[in-house]
Amino acid sequence: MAGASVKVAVRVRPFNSREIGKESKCIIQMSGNTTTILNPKQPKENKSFNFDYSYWSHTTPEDLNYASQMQVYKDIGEEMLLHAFEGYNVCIFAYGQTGAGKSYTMMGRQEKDQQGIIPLLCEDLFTKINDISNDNSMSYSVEVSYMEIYCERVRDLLNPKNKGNLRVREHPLLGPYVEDLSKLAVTSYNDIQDLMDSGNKARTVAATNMNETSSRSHAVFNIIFTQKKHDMETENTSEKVSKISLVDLAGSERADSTGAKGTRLKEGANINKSLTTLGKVISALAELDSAPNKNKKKKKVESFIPYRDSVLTWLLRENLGGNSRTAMVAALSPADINYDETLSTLRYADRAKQIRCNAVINEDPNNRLVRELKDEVARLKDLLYAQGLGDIIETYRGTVPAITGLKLTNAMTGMSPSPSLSVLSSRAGSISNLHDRIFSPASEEAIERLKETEKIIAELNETWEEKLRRTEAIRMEREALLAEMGVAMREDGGTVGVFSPKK
Amino acid sequence: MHWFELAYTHTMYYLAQVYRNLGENERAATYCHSTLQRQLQLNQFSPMEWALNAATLSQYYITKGQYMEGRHCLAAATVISGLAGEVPSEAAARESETESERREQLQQKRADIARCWIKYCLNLLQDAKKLLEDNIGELDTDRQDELKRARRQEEEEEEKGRKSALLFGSEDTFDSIASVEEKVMCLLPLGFTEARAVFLVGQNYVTQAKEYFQMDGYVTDHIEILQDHSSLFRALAFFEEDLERRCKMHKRRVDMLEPICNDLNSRYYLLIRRQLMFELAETYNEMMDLKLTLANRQADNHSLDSHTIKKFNHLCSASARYFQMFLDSLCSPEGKQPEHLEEEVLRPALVARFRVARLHSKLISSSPPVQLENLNRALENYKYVVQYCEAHPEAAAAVETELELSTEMVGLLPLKINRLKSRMAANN
Repeated sequence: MAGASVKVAVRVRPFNSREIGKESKCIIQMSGNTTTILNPKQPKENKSFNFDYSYWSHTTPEDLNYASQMQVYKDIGEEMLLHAFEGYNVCIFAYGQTGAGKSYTMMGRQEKDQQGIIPLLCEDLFTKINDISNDNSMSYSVEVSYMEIYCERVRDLLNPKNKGNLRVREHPLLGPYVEDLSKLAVTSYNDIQDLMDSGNKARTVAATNMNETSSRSHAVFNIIFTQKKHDMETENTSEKVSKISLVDLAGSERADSTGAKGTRLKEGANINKSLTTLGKVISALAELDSAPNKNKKKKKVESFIPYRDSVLTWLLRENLGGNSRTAMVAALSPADINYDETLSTLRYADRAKQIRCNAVINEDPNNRLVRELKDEVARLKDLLYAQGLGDIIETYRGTVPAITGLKLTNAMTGMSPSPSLSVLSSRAGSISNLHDRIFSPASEEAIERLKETEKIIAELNETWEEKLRRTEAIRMEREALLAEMGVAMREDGGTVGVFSPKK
Repeated sequence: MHWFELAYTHTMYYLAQVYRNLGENERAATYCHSTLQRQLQLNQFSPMEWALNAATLSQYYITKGQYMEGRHCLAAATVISGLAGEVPSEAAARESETESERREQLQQKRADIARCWIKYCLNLLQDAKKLLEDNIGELDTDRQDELKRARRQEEEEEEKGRKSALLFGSEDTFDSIASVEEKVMCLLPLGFTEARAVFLVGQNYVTQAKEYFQMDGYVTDHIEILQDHSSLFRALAFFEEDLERRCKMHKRRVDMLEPICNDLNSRYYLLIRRQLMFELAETYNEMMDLKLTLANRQADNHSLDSHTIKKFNHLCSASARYFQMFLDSLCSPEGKQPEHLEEEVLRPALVARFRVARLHSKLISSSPPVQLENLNRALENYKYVVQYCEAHPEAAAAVETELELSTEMVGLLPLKINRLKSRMAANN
């Protein structure tokens, strides 16, 4: 599973009584990981989405294709628990329309085989702990907290007497936390069950036409799991703390289809009637234009959008990147009467696949560094080239006399560059296999060659003009010397005659 | 009549939404602007909400490089937020929950507006830099002269623009808004003096924002503000001609970010620490380059005195250390290196390797064994880049230039290493 992105699963439930009453048709189809939704008004039009898992739970356990609670847990929950044992933070959240099956997936029911992800995970956690408890060097502690986020206010479900709105804060050492949120120690799955039950009772419940037990709040159940390992030898105790966040998101639907009345309508009301969402429109404009640009050349423009993240996003920010694992289960209603909402849920889940951590590393451009390095590469290459030539000279020293006497010939006679130099330049082409030889593991040889060829390299580096001047000077010296001795030189270098030495 | 005016305002607002949904952002922005303007004219607004909306709209303008409009929105936001009244005192806040919330809200929203201003100043400086820099990131004086000449035309256009633009405010507020606008320019700064003026305005807002977004309570926000402050310094350094002073600016950045980086809980703030590490590494590298340039200018021959070498090496190692810290942060809780680099960290991770390699080969030492060790570390890191891209071909596209150079260096560094070894062998 990719580290920084969200694993997404969708799950479709059976018809509920309301849907049966309205003789609804099933508009969801699943095949492998693909979910397809049919438009009840335009039967030919269908949309398909791919997810990490598409769970078909519309029928019954007798159906081979049926995805049971256990299967969902095995695919998603188990992996998360393993990650938590490794020391990662994990987060699972359930999203979807009221009554689509979120709570069933997350909590389930107390009956056999109907337990949801949360109870199964907790059971598993304690089973694992008890298995390894034979190892005396390891000790574990488990604490839980349970909170409700309702209209951006945070309430402690394990201490409902605390009516106050709890503040979310960040501490440099303790990390993000909710002020005064109770963290209760638990030693068994039963403890967790009891606490969850009492917490659930305390949740804000809005009875709507759709579903008697629907809720308009997010519920966040946190398990803080600490593993301490005591090393007998060093007397050191190392600690691994991981947080497992299990989130049941408020119903995603709009108000119209529920027929809800009164104050409850305000929550899901058509808020376009007031200008309160002007801010959202403007934010969208500003955010849209400062989105990370795939084009490397265009630098991202930095902006600050004053609107606070929702409390939920803020609290889960740490789970959307880095060393965390996140999974989302989207619950779907199979009925045609819920087409709009179901499609909206599918789209949301589809977008969730793209969620990535947004702490981008902004790099300074490194053009200057690149240029410097390119210069260094060029310098080293020149060295190699020269070294390569030196190597050729070595090789041919014994075989081609012309080259052997190269030094001497030039110095003595001032003759024009022998054909041997052109031989040299054509040999330059075979530098690549020289390269191999020089860099061979048996580089003692190479080192020796290096030492010897340094002198030759120096001479080769002399420009041809300099060489000519030098040899010309030597020639004149020699002629003068010979003239003193009374020997004349022919143009081709041979001596001719004797004459009286000039003074 | 009043109802009619309100309906007209709503129409603007709906049009804004329509155009946004159609993807015509420029039109949408204009309608948002008109909506805000009408709200003020009709006195149909709640000050803090209006101010935040105007401040947010300024961010849209900034992303488009429309600094005059952006400045106007921000100035209006500042003035109108003042109309929201005094912040309730701490005592009053303790007495009543509503007062406490009100205090919280007002302080926070005003700090938010300050943060929008910071972005204004930062983007203005950065856009100016983009216009003035040459191909290695230094100030191109020819282009500077050219732009200064073109400036006179711009100033005339600014005047025209102001007259035709949709101005916010009522009779009372026009002047106050104008006086806030006068405090900072909206044209791109073309030299140090202008840049410094913009920098100081930005720095002032940093101080304001930090008052509310304190470390204890708002870690992420506080650090984002510090990062902006560091970026302000970096942008200003571009305009500073004196290399010694430039170096001091980078030192301010280090002094600001280093303690934070080390004090943060590495588990909870992993991502933000990575950003800080990378920035610190780059800043130390920048300082190292500056010190070397300074030293080479002063010395007649190319030899450096021992004090300079020590300083150079300190900066060089510090840079390498932070890049390495960044790389270590990618490891699993057990300390194992990742076999596969995630998309968000792919390029930074490979660049970090590349930089560590380069830094090690730049370290100065008179001891051959130490030189050998440094070159070997450099080779090791260049090799990692090459090998990773071989194993993950899709990664090569993200680090084209760095891969090319690393491949060269993997081929050529052994040459240098062998020469060193031969010299060491000769001396024994």
